[in-house]
Amino acid sequence: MSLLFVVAVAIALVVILTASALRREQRRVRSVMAGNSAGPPTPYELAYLSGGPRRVINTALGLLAKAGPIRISRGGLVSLVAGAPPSPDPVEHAVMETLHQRGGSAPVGDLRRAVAEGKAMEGLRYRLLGLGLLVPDSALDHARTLLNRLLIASVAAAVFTVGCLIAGPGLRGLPTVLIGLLATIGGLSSYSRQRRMLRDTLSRSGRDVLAAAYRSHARGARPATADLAFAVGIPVALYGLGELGEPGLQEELQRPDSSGSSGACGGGSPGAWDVNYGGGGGDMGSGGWGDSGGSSGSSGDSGGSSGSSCGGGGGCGGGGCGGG
Amino acid sequence: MAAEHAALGVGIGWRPEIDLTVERLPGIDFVEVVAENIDPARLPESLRVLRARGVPVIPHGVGLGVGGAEPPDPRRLAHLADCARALEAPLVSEHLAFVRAGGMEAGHLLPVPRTRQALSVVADNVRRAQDALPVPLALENVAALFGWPEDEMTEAAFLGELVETTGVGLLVDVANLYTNQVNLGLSATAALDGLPLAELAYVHVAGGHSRDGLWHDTHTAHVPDEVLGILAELCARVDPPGVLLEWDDDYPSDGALEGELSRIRGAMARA
Amino acid sequence: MPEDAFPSAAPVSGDVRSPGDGFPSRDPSTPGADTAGADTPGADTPGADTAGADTAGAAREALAGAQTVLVAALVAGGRAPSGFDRERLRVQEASLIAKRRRTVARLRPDLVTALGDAFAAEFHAYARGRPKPPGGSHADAHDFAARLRAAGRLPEPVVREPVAREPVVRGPAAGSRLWSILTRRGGGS
Repeated sequence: MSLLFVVAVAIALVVILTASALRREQRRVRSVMAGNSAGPPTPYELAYLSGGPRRVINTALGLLAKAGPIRISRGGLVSLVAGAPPSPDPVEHAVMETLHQRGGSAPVGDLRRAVAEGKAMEGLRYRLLGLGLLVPDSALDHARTLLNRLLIASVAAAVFTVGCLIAGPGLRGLPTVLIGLLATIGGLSSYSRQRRMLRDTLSRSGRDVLAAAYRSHARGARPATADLAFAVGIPVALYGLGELGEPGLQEELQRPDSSGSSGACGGGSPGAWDVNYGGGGGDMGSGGWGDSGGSSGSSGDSGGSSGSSCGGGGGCGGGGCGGG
Repeated sequence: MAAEHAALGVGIGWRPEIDLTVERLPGIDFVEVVAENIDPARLPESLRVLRARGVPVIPHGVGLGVGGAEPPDPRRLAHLADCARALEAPLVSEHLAFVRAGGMEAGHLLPVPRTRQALSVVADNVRRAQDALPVPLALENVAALFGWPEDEMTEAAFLGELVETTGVGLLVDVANLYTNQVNLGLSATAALDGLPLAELAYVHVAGGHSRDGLWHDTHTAHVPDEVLGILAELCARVDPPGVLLEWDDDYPSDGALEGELSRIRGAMARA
Repeated sequence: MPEDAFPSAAPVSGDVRSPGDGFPSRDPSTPGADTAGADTPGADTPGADTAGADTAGAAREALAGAQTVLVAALVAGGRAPSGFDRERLRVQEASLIAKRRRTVARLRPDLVTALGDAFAAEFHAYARGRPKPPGGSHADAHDFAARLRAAGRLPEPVVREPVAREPVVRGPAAGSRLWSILTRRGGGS
């Protein structure tokens, strides 16, 4: 029973305890009580849960362009259609009001920024917080501290293990090295899983609502209804602009996205939000706010989305590692 | 001289805000683009799409000021010529107007004093423009809120003499005829009677607003029946090679624009 | 009026020009944009490029004089030339200013937001009697903003504030930053 063995066990314990504290913390923070919603989630609520403010705005742009109040032209210029009635929805109203203030038209990038930073988006976020579908960003501060601690412990484990290997442990040192190695691997994989989870601020109920929506609205399904909010709004909210069914429109709305940084709509509290739950291959980890994955996703319905709607790698349930 | 002007059909003014709309509207036979708004070396994608479909695109200048005291700016003429070549346009159009004087930009198409003396200047300007352009030039009658006290002839007579001496083509804006009828009491029918319609290249149609008893030709509204009536009158006299709807701001829905175009077709068929 | 035969609509993308924009109207034979000749027809008519005795030259000269007086009355606050319907010239003048205002509103939505309902009146006060500057609509918007700032109607642009407190510059990156600030400042003053 060498000193090194004791150290290895100590480091492994720190890694395990931190990882489980982090899991508990995430679960605790995200298990807020769901409030009472008046009805099924609106396209914009789903869009926020699924892709953040940018997805909300893209959903509004897609819906308004399809329904008629706005027009998109080549190069991503958005303009108001004269004579269109005002929209009762706050986000749609914000889009139209912003255009109105700019004399009737604006580049899509400017429009996104203005609406993302506007009151309507804030109102939507507060509503989702009130419904218990989101948690406040600050509620995850402690989890982020734990995440940093987990990283430090895992790196310490790695350094320790490499040190032991360099020193030449011999047969008797093998358990020490093995423990160090397991602590390193377990710690880092837990770190990457938990970090990904920390990118959004969905509560457990938020995830349930979203998962239910993904189950009832398969990617690529075009509901045969005249209700655009249902036929266009929900698919775009869940899967991105690829679901618009109009490649030209999609191209113009996405065009500035490639040039603009993902910071274009830094309004909302959640961070990178690149996890797109039901997505299967295409949207997962595509970076940005998930909508950029829409183009690849539109062709890739087969990408495994038939499985669990929260499939793509530990989106819900806190990840495989010892979730008891 | 009665040059045969190319058949154009029914068209709409191409504007960047409605480029996709123009591309998808049914039955668009030709379009017009404000020449000052494009770079012939880098044409807007939408115009390239339309050209690839064989839709004629006519460069329409607003800044040459062929009715001004200065000879037309060679750089502006070169720009118009480059636009015509880049778009393989059948013709170029401009206005019988002046837009600057004494180094000041009016920012607007102002009416030329219709005197013999001014006619000689404008005719010389038109010839210079024609020499610089690779395709025929057509000039448009303008609308006015005021007339010159020294006017000696009607706009129709002025344009008639200009056409006769220079061979320039005619772009008749029926909304401008209506505007002058309302604002200046000049009969649109009499103008049609006086204009050399044999040299008609195409026709403009547009809507506007009435304010304090004056008609403002804003190109932002429904075309009034009176303007379509003048169009029908024109069509009763001559079969116009082309008729184009101008809409410059506050663009309505695709359906509304389509409706305006079919009203125009209806007025043409009435004749 | 073919008010929108000119593209008053649209210069959002910056590619739509009013007739004067982008094509400096400074022929050698064109006098500067002074408005001195407003009350004196012919006083600042260009010599044109022909001999004075030539009738064509005389015709151009007479036309230039008459048109200059009229344009001065419409955009430079000059007196209305005799024989014209003064009321109509006033309507025309207001409509030209309204057109400039719409273009500036598109170029500078921030000014519209800052001024609110006062935007139209402020712009009218600025533009009345002041021809559009040679730089076109962008210069017009710039001049209007500068006038508003000078009158204390607008906050100083944020970019200028930190300049005075900018620490002493070291290294190329900071140098290029300072350069961009200086050039921006130069352009803005």
